[in-house]
Amino acid sequence: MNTESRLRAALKNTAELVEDRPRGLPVVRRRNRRPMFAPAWAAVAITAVVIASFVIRDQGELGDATTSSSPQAVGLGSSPKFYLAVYRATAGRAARFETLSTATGELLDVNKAGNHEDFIAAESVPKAAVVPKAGVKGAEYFYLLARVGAGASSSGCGDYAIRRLQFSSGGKFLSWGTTDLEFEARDNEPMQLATTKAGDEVAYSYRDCASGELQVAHRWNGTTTTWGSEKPVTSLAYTPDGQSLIIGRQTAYGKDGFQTKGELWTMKTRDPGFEPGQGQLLLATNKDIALLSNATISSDGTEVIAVFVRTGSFIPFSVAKFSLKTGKTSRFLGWFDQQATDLTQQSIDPDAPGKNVLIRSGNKIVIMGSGYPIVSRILTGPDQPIDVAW
Amino acid sequence: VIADRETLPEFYREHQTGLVRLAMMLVGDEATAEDVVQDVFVRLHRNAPSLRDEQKLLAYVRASVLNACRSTLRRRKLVRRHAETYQPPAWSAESQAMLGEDHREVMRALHRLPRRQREVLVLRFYADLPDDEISRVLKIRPSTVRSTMSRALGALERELGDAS
Repeated sequence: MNTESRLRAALKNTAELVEDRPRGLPVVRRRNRRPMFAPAWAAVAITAVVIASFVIRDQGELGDATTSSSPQAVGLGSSPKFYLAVYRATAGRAARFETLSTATGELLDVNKAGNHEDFIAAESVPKAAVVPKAGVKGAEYFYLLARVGAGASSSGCGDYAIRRLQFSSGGKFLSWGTTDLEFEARDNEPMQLATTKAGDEVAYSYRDCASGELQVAHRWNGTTTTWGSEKPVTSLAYTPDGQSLIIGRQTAYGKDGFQTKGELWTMKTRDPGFEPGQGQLLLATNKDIALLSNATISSDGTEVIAVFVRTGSFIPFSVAKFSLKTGKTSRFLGWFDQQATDLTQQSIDPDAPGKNVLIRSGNKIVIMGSGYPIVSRILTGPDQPIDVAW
Repeated sequence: VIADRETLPEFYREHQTGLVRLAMMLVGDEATAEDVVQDVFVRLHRNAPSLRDEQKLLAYVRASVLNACRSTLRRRKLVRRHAETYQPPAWSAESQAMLGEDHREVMRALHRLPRRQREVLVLRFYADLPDDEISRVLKIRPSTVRSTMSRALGALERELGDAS
């Protein structure tokens, strides 16, 4: 064999070490690059843009498919096996919630609302301390914020309650449960729901019927404490120790009515002397981050995960972790197409280990995480879930 | 313009494996090769060239990949001093890659050649590019391609002869 043939064979053989497979550009490639050589965060951020534009947009062209998922969805490690998607009632269609497989996007179960109830938001209770007596071993629990009863009062108000949902470990709906948490609120206002891991504390935001004020409420040990908020609440989350609430608020609008600035506050729930705006300001948007919303906190309590938009950037909606210590982007998780017309049509939920994030934007549900490009996504047909949780 | 945001995804899907393989020949490991190609596409996404011909775009991207490989190798020389980030090339003795010994020997010999000779050989014998295409990618004259190719083959033969 002459030199050319040997070279050709060696090159071919070496090339075949690289498997011919679809490879998205990883959202995060965590290498120990030396800072002197590359602004790593910038490379990662833009890398994520490229892969997301490749993957999400293309998958968005699947037409009327009700569910679909990418092959990369397999192997989510410690993420929950399924997640919950909540749909509000529409004309001629009852509210419902669905469970979907994290790995495959498969629809596992559907349950429709009865008695004219409407579903608003959901939160998982990963370490449920409050379980029914007939609880099933290995069951998974969620809280569901529901509007109960038909019709609205003359002031446009309705009654709201929090239900406890029980699912099998495989995602099959098992039973409804009740909580003692009921309140009255203005209808058609964005509402946020949060709970601690054990489910023994619940927070929610709403517009008060009597005063018309925006409120943040914290329910613990049979007592509800409320705080007024002058600015719309875009996100609520407990710190992992359950001692504090992270409250995201929008602080300004652009000329087009779109939210342009946001801020995150932390408030000690056991020290109800503070109001949002009087607690500790964690993070405020600046000229680089024009919008900050749907914030939640990582499981280790050191980072906030939020959707944001950079001014003048071609990145429509980005998801990143911000260090609570420095306020700077500590990890860029990904980018998703602008399916929603505003951020009230989006929701975001990190899994318990904080490695992957479940995002609902418009009619798409996307899973992003470190080490995975776009791990999974679901097209959910013509109507859009109001919330997702896992 | 072919390299706009709408068409790039399709272009990427079609050529990504080939480009990663091309980069692999020069940087030695798949992860770094993927990084290189990713970085190229990130830059392409930011500053798409005004090209209407897919072949010209491919040549442009190949050239960008080669440039990025050179930068990576330059950087690696420094980073290798801090050995924790060093990944052995697939043809090195320490690599676990499934590569036959003869092929390892050829690849090691190839990587002892000067950079331009190595690139010319890879573009010809892996990518099967004609002289004029190689000249476009490497931005050298076709006559230089031919002379470099001739010298490179001779040098490789000597390297292999010496090795055996």
